[in-house]
Amino acid sequence: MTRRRTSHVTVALASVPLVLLSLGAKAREVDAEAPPGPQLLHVPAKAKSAEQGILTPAPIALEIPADLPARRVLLHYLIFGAKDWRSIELHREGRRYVGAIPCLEVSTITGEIRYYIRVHDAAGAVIAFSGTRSSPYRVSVHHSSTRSDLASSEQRCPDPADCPPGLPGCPSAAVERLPCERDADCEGGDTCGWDGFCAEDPRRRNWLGLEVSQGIGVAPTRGACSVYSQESEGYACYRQSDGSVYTGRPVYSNEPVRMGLAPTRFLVSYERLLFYDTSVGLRLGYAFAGAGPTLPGAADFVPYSAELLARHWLGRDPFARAGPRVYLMVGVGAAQFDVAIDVRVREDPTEVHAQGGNDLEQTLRAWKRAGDGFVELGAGVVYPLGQRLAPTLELSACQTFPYAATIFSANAGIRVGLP
Amino acid sequence: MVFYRGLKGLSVLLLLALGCSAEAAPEPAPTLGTPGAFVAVASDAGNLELLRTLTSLGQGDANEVLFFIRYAARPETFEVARELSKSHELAVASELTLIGERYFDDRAFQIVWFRSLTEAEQSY
Repeated sequence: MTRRRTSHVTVALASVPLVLLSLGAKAREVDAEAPPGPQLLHVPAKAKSAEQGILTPAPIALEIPADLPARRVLLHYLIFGAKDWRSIELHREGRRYVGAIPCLEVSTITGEIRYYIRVHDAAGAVIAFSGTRSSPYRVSVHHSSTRSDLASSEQRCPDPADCPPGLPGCPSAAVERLPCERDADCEGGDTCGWDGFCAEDPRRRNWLGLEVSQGIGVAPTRGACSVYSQESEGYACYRQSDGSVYTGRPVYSNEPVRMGLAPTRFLVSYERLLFYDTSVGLRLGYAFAGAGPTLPGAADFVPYSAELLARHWLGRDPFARAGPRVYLMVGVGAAQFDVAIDVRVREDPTEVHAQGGNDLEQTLRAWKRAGDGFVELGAGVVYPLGQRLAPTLELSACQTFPYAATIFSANAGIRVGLP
Repeated sequence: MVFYRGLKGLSVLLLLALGCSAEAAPEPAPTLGTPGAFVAVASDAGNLELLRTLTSLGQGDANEVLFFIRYAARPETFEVARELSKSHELAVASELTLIGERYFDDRAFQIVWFRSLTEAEQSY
């Protein structure tokens, strides 16, 4: 994060007893946990402490320069003996933000209350702070029996029903969710969620995958084994009688589209969860079986593949819950698919034949080398086994170009979730 | 209406998949003079003689002379002759036989198959 302000700012902070300070804002002692942004108040260690009695709220007031784009000012405090930090939002009164650690929380617990303040902008990012979790302000709470000078005249907290938190003039409302823009705006192991609030994120956002993919291709066979098709459309046709390359003169007859096996691939993928239900990824592959022969003089089959893909995960926040996760996906990439098909050809006896031995009708073994680009649509399901491992099954259809074929693929594998 | 349009589109797709479009090209058939054509012709012995055209000489009229390979097989029917012709291992009785086209005028015959001639066959 960038330091948004380093110019001179004048701030005031009040505690019990009310402390009013005016300082330059150049932070000279930023501790290791300090969030980005200017430190509003640089207070000597001995001045960061105050004292008060029990059953008394701890009022806080903070004056912020008018040109600082503050939207919310949050006070984070830890009552002595408590396990978790709590937060309240200071409310604005002119240029000041005021609030108080509630009397009922101070209660009769003696010991030290720690607190610090963070100023958020409209996006939730921390743009300034005063004190940090590791270097907080401290208020020592003393019992009236030991410090009678700190005893309040009333020594009794008001009934919350008389003045609900958050109403003007009443104690500050507790903040259930802390706004943030990025993980650095959050503390205590929380991360910044996509909703702009800090939360303990159970989701694994990065996934590595290992899959095996088997494809079945569909390719047209009309005119597939003509010399032109073999030279220009990615077909390679071989006679079953002797295995030689077919260079006959077939009639341009209507033949149906044919289906045949496409290569089997290993796939390695990385996927990043971008939102509750959206992820993008990169998938690299290697075809280890199913490549067809290459015609003499033609380019060899390229077994490597690469694909960029995006997935939309169905359901509400699927990565935060157990159970199967279903997705729809779209991808675009580069790969070659050799589709093995049988092609029936009928020889044209009226042509001059350069190749002998071609029967009037015969069935050729052909491979359509489709690719090199493709677009893909698919759907799949992932079933997480605990936090890290998740078997996956995916069915997809891709259309290749410029050498056209339609490839249906079934992928099965395992994914490993990383933080 | 939408339903019927869908049916129409589906039927077009099915026809395309089955290879029944209107763009089917005519399938030329071999003739007696087509090099590579298998000819089954009735013989004097009552069965069929199996010949294969190598080439022809003439103007395409009745005086045309045809050069054949004569096979040893003597099929009884044209169907059997067709099936025999599909074999690449037919025994040859005579590598070169000259027959005038008139020979076929008063005999039953059929062009039962075709296979393009190999270089070896063309050299007969």
